Amino acid sequence: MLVLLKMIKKLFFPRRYQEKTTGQDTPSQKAAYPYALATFLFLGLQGILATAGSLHLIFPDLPAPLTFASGRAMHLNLSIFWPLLGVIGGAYYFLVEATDRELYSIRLAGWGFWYLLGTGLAILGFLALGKTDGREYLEAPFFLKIAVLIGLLVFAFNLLATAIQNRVVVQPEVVVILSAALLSPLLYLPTIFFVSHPTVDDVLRFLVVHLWEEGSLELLATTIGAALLASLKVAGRQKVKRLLLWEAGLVLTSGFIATGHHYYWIGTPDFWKVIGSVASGLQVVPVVLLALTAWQTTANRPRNFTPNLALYFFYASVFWNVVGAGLLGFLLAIPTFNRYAHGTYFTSAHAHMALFGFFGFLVLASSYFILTRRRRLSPTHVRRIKLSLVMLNSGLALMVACLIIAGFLQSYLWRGLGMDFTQVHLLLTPYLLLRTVGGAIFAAGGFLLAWEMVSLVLKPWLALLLSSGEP
Amino acid sequence: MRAAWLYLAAIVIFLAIFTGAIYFSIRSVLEETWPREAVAGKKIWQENGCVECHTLLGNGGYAAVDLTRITATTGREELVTFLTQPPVMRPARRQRHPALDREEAERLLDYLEQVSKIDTRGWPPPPFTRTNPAQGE
Repeated sequence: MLVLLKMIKKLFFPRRYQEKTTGQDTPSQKAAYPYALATFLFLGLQGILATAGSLHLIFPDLPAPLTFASGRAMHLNLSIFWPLLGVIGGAYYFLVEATDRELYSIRLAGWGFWYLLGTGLAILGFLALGKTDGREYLEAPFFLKIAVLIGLLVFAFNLLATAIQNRVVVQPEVVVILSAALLSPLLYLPTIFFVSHPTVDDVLRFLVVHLWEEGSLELLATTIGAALLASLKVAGRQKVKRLLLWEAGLVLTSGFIATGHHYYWIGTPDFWKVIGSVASGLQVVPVVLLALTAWQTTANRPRNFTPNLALYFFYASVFWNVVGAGLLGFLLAIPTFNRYAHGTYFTSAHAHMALFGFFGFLVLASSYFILTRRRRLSPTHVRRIKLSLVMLNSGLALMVACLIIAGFLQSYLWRGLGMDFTQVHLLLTPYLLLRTVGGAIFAAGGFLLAWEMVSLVLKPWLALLLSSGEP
Repeated sequence: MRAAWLYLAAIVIFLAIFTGAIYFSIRSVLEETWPREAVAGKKIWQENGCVECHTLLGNGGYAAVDLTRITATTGREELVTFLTQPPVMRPARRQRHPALDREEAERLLDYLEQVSKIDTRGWPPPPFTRTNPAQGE
């Protein structure tokens, strides 16, 4: 019995770290720890919620604690919320890393986390109770949107004050981080008010739904990614800096206009079809640049070099960026194709690859790096993280493949042949079921990852408590 | 240093172009005045989270049919009955479509009628063949 208990204990609580090297993270960087940990926790929650939701979609009669609408609203809001937390943490961490200066206010960064966490949980609570604002991705009630806006402004202010105080405003990394941090509240502001006309509503909504991901947050994430490559010593700092500005410029110049691929059919003029598709084509350029850099890092790294696992998260992100945002995104941005694919599961496939595959993995890479950088990790931990990476990626691949097939069938049968929507949707059941299987693999991987990260961080605390209990 | 300024200038210029393009494309829409009933209907649409299953202008959930042109293809009385006495939704056996009271249903339909008048520039596309029309059951 005791042996069994010990085995169970070993299974759930293996020693994850061997020793902590002498702490070199500055107090400012330590303020980013909670942000990084929260991303993993929310990822775990998200996977389980989404898998349950996808099952509910196929079997609506199953007893569920939430309505499908509430569950989906929570899923969508989580999908923006935790990358946002991770990006804020990463921006704080790598700003300090790049400038070698402390933050203007460490306390603001620390309390900012609890403030945003509280806001996020309140949003989830309201959505669970069915109190929704009913606009996709922006379902949070009005006063909580104001609260998020304040949180973003505080974040932007803290970064700006840090840069001004230390006179490093025009350093490349800093200028990119700052511009992105200021853009996000600016883009959020027009979307928090009630708009009566659905065309205007959708035009404004995509400022957040598209431009947060492809504009401001992507800028922060690419900066973080570049800093990550430099910190992992797989790419020279100078080279990374040059790449960063190139990439940032391309992301922004094409990124703004590429929002046009959401403006094809919502009652806006035809010129968006031209500039939207051209700019979306240009958006592939930064993706290729990023992929080339990643490729070079694999080729250039020294022999018997064991990288931080964050590098694998980064590679996963580049892969999904090329496949999801690059290939499928490019295909979907062609107006004649989009005319049939608009509003089908194609969109869902693209959203999962771009939002989690590309963006989520990048945020996870930075969060993982922040949490594990100063620790020497045990082989058990490394094996489990690798396993969870395999599960996340294969789950996502299965999910996305099913969604693409479903999207193709929908476009062809419903839009192309004009069959009844519900009939077509019933035909999709096997693919949606297989999607749930992919989702379950993904959710298991996400849960494992969250579990590992929480134990990794909590173990030292538990050890402290235990040693004080046993003299 | 110079690259940083160039970058900032590029942001400002493209932000300005983008804002201008958006303003230009929604200028005519902003001048439209919608009846108060339709605006009330949009609030009902939002409060009930209809977008989580249905799409409008092609944006929204994938679980149920697009409602952009629903009032043009289905009679109003039929839609009111659907909303006030909702049927069981396939593939469910028990689960019904959420219900609205009559007043709410009327306002929601006022809104959807306005939406169906939006010029969506050729979307949704006509089916490839005419032998199997879009509403064929």
